[in-house]
Amino acid sequence: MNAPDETRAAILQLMAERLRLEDKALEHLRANGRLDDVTAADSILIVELVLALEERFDIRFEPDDIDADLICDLDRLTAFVSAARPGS
Amino acid sequence: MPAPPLHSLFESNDHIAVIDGTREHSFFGIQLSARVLAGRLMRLNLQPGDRVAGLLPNSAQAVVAFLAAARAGHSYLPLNTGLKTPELETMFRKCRVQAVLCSAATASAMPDSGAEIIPVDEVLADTGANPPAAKEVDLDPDREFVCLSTSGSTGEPRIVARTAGAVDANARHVKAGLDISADDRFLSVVPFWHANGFSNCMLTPLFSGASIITLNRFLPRSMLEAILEHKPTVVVGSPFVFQALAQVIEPLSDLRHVRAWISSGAAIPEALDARLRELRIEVRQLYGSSETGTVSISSGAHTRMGNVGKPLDGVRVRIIDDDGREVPQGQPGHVQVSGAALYREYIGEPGEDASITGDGFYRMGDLGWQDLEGDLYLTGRSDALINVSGVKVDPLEVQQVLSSMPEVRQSLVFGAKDRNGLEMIKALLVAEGEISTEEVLRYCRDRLAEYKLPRTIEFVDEIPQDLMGKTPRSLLEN
Repeated sequence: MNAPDETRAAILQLMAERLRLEDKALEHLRANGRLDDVTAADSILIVELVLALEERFDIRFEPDDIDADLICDLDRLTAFVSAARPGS
Repeated sequence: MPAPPLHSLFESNDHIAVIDGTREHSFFGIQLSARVLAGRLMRLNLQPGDRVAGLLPNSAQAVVAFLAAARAGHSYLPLNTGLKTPELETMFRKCRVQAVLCSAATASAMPDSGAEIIPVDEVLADTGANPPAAKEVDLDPDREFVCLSTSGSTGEPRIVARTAGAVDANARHVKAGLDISADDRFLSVVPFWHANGFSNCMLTPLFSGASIITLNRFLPRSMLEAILEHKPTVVVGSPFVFQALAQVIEPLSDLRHVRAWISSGAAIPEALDARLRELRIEVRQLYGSSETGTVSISSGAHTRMGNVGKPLDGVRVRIIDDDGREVPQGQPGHVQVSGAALYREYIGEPGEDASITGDGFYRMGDLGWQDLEGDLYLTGRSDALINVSGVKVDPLEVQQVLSSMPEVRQSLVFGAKDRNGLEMIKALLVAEGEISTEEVLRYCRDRLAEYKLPRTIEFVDEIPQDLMGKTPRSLLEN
């Protein structure tokens, strides 16, 4: 598995744990890459995920980085996290 | 002769009014911008008292928009920038909105309601615009001054109309209750479209000559940086905001410049309160509503959970039993509030207002009791509104949208606690045939603001109901 794939897998696992996604929802997310297909992506969820991602990957989100689509689009989020990770 | 209500809102001086990102705006600058924007409104030939909506994130422009509407003699309706087109259409129609103050980026997304759309950033960027000569602002205490949206239990959002006199009363109550002066600096992530955000985090600081630090998006680390950089004296949030902040604040952070940490919208869970005290943060609970303004603010000293403090001077609270009789102190009942800050009416709802008693008390929808010292304790809601991080959501409104899907035979929407003890929206659906969660969310997303969408959707074969057609709360909790 290359680095972006590992990052994507780690993000999926984090989302599954933090949001308590059911297997069916996780499967859809893995296949279609849209978090807002399986849950409401309100400001609370966005903040919860940002905190979790910052802690997990030792990165930092700035307010200008954030739009709902970044958090909901797994490909975009993976690219962002991959680029922001220390050593990348 | 006493000064007219709210006159201090329109004073001009070099003191900092708003810190918006890296820019500082003086009261002089804010008032000048407000006059320019008011001039734009006045060219529309609207009538005094016509309603002007504002759709702007927390920012200096949001402050300017409100002051401009007030200067031009109109009633101001701040609205959630996350509302979808059908929701905006309902609001505009219900309030007969004549003009909308928004950003250039969102202007094209406004519904075609006949209201004049005014991009605030474009108006203020026109450096050739001359402000009209300053004219006296209509501060008749009986004038409708602001409209605030709130959640009802009827399936449709409600909008309360508040007079200049009522808004002035609330500002005075809170100013006295928190001892606010021009030396204070407020930092709040509560949106200015929310009653608490508008009245307590924007208007009251302006009224008091204090400074406002705006953040247009809540991210815990960024908020903490703003607290450390700008050194606010008052920080306002919700239990969710404090939950998130507690995860990023270092134990030895020097936050002594903050003399008041205020939480509103819902009770702080006990475990969170304990964690915050470890960080030397004593959170004071603010209690109020769109209809009443702020009712009370707790002292923050370690007290029993549910304590929201003594009613502010000028606010009257009573506890009533199911038969409408006032109960002795110490006994639980329904909380009712009266005072000069009370709303005037629900817009677009003619007929008798069932929320107000015959002797002028507003039924809060909360259950509680008062101790012998007069401190108010809240014990729960008597209605079914879901409290999503301080913003009330009417489950019936969400349910009606879900039930309008052809593929949904039956739906039930209710609040459920998440792992942090905060309330989230959950939906049970009985479907006709195959339908996916993503299809449901997509359908709802076209019709409802994101915060009203269910966090969890569960498909079931049937929704249990009793003989009255209601689903017992005990079943939902299980």
